[in-house]
Amino acid sequence: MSLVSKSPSFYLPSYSLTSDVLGFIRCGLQYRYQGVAKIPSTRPFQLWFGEFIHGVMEEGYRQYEESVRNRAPDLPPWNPVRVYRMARQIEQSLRDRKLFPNNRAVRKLGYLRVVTAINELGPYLFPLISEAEISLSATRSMLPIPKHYQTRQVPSYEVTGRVDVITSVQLNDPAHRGNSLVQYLVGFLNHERAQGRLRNLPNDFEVIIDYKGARRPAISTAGGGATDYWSVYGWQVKTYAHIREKQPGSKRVALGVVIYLNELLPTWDDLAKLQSDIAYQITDITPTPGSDDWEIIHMKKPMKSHADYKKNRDLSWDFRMRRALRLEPVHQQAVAEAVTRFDRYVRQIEISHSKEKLCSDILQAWPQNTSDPDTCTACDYHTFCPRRQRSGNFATSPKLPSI
Amino acid sequence: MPWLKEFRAIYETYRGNPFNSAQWDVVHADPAECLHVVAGPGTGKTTSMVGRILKLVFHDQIPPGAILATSFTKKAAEELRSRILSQGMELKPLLLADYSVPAAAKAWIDEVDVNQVLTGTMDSICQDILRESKPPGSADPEPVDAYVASTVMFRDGFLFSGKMSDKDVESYLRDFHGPHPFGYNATKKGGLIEEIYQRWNNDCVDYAAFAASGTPEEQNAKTIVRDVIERYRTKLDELGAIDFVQLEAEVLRRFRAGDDNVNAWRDRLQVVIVDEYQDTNLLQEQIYFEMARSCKTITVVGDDDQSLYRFRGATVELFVDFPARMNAGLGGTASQHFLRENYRSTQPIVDLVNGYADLDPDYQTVRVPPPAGGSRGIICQSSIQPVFPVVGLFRATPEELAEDLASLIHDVFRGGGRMIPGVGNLIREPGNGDLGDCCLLGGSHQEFAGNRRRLPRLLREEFESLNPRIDVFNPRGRSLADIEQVILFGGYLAHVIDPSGTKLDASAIGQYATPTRDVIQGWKDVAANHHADAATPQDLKDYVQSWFDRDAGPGKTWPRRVSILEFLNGLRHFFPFFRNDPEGLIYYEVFTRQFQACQRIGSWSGDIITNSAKPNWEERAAFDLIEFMLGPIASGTVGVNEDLVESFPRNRFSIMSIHQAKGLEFPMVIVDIGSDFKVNNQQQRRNRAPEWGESSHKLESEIRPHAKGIGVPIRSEIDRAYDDLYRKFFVAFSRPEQVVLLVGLDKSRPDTGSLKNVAAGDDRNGNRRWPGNVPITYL
Repeated sequence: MSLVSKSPSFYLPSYSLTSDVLGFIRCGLQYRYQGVAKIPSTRPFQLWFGEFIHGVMEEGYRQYEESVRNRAPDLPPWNPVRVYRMARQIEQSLRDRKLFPNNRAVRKLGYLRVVTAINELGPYLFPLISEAEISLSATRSMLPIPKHYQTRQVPSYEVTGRVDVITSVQLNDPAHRGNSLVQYLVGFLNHERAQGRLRNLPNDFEVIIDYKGARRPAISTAGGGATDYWSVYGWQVKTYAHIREKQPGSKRVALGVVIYLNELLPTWDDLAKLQSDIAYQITDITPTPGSDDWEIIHMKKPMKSHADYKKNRDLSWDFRMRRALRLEPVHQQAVAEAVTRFDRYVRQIEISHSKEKLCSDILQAWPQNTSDPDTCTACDYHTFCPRRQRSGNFATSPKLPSI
Repeated sequence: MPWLKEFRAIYETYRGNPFNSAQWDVVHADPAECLHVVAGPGTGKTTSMVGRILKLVFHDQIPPGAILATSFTKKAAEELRSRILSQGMELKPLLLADYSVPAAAKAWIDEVDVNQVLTGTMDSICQDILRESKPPGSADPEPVDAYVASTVMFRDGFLFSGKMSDKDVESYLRDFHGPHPFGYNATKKGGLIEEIYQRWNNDCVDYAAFAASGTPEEQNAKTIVRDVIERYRTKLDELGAIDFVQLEAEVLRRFRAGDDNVNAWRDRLQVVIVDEYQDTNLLQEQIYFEMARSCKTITVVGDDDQSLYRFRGATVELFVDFPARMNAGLGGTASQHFLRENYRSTQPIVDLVNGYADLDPDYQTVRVPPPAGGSRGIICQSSIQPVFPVVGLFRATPEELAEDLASLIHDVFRGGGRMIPGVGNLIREPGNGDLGDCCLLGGSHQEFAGNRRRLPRLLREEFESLNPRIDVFNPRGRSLADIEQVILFGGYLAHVIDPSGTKLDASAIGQYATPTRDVIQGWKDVAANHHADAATPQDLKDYVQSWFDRDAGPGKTWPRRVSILEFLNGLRHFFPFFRNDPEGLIYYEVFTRQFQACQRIGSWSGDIITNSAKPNWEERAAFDLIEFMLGPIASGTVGVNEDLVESFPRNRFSIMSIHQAKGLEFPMVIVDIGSDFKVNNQQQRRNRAPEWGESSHKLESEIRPHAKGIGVPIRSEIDRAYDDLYRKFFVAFSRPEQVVLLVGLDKSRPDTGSLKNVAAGDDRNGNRRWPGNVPITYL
């Protein structure tokens, strides 16, 4: 006379490409604490920075768009005070979401960067935008999960995302003549066409643009092999393209563009990393040896404070733009690979959830899978992270605050 | 070319189950038809809604983005979306592959993207509307959490108004508190003002008319209450924040003002479908009517017998009277549909549910009337075997009850089973059976009532003494202040915030009653003892001591300002429970959430200040941390985040309140109908046989005469209190699939119990009417 067993609950989980999948890729354990359990980080400046820069760019575009609607187009560059005002408003709304810059230097850097992005990139970018902040969603089949980890029925999952910008303008439009961003995109597309990677490209197509509040990652580690972030950001923009193309009324997406906004105003630390990337030949955009850009990158850090960016602004616009823009052609094979990668990560997240349900031990259930030393350095959990303990490179006790 | 028959055949083949006729009526109703669906428990409400949405999309070619489907809770809305998306994704290729589907229809189906269906709760949809329609220069609406809203209302609204001791306010609010003075304090008064504020908005009240009614003293009190609320709103504006009530009110205001952006959002809708409509309030009804203003097509689904949220403003009459209200508000008629075939529970459970719903004659007058010549009763369609009778376990004392119940659960899930007289041995499913197949439901999941250990607590203790021991999963039912690890953690925190130990005596936590101060002092004592204990790890001692002394170590300087989050995070290193255990993590989140609340509403961003030149700064920052972070945890004002309690571990015994169990089902459900009722105690009568209405009923009576769009409540406050109690246990009795076990003290036994108790079968007049066709097998 036995009881029946409770049917596994039916659930179609929804995973955001950025906060969930990228969070998990950054580190599974960190994602469990911060993404799932909503534990705030003691150093949330990366999150704050990304949200801040996105928010101000969106607001800048909205103001430009409204001026166009009112038949008085008002394109940047704008008085920095106007941008500061927008930035303050975004900062306040992030505060409402419990996101803080944590220290004045980070805040100041954020303000300087949004002024640079709006006033230097905005004039080229804003006129090309046809839609901003577009929500995307698609349902995908869940890859098979081993039977012993099937604690809930998950035949499929929803993937969601938010594209910063879509352009569908005619890139050959004479109105954009002289727009260096357009020239750069057209040049790339022509090159891809010539290489046979973008076949049958219609005249009318879309370009997806995604901002990143980050520096351009190295394309591989010093020891060889692709680094996570280089690949992942590429997959992300292609997956966006895949979902976007499924939306009714959308056009073919020909190109995904990742804009690494930090490259528009790099810190001395960024330049030091770039110098190292150049030395190890693991970055794809480098200055011509002997050029002014080369000299600036290779000069000694002039001040201890990284708040002096004057010299960094002396890097040429062309170089900074090429560093900031990453262009990814969107074609079937690349998209298939990107989407499959994300499917695999989602399956890993599901398995981690199941493991936790089965063993009730978070540290056992969630992988500590980061490949980025910066992620570990800034991690709140490094004193008890099993991976750090296994590596022998860990602090046994939490650090005390000091100045 | 019509192909409805083919659509049905393909869909039913895919599901592996045919729709019953009532479900199919809902699914295939004309797209332009408005429906009022009364769905009993376990009758396939979600199945019908999802079926209707997919039929609208695939067959009727309604663009998915033109369909809005909402539900009452976030979880219910997520489940609805889950089913729409998964079935949509799987059905689409089947339709495309089937030869009987016309080519023109296939062309549509091939293009259609089911993900575009709009789903969510009323709050999330309102947030989306405001976000999408925000003009440049304005921020995204970010609703504040309940604690922040309550704190701002209490502190900035009430306390700073200087009217806390106003006699008129005192006397006016006292009437809503109930006849007994116990618990009527400043916090309670603040809570009542918050309730008035919510009712003012939720019931669309004309406050000027409301304030002008009553005696001069009452009018004065209502004017002060309005001032308090205005102060609260002003403060929220200063914080750049909005609460959920304002979020909804703003959307309604924009609809009615003809805002172009909001109207554009509305004009794309062709169908509005609302689930759990029995818990809708007037403000939400008005928004739904505005959303459907252009398309004139709205379907509501619900069950008046399962309306549980009057205390949050739900007005069940809006569901009961929907056809007439829709006609008045939108025009047109709504066809009524009753879903009665229950696929969840065995016959004895269905008999219990039906018998229970019918036992109080007066309750019948508030239910949606059955169709002509029909019945509201559900009909058993379950094929689960074996079938068990309703089982009862009643004992003289809570301790005996806990001991015997723990032993029974242990036998069933960890031992060789338990013999049910006349039936056989009750045992877990041999393959995957585990404790997750069972749960305990009660009016409350709290483990303590004051200092008294309730059944959930006693059970936990009994389980711990068994071999093998059984772990309990009840994160919502344990007051944080009762959890050993929380006490120790909170104690260390209190020491570090206030090393001199003087600030607890100051007025900063004046809003908390003395017991809260005592609780924190108790925590400090525990931490001090732990710190002095030789067995305590030295590195923990050193770490805490350094924070206590503000000592960064040799050659280093302690910062003048440091976030308490740094300490929380560091201290957690020494508490594996808070980092390894999923339940512990839920408790830890409360500390960090309160830190964030302190960042939001305090003046010192949740920082510890160390500056000997500015001792008052140090003091004020510490006050903030005690007032906004530690005090609310110690006083029980804040609890765990419901959204984080994702699911029930299979290897633990789950305890939950009836409210939390809504929408869930388990093979075996233990319903506590009277473990608290040892004697005829007046304080407990509200949970079994009320003698007066609760504050929610009293406020309803007070405010509804001034509501715009709904009349005064027809029934008395006490009758409404009884109605709500019947609904609560109706929900509890309809959760089990195979076994329902009623438990309580002997005085609540349905056959011999002497205390009046509606869950034991009493009607409101005290007549015991336990349904004759529901025999109970007592153990």
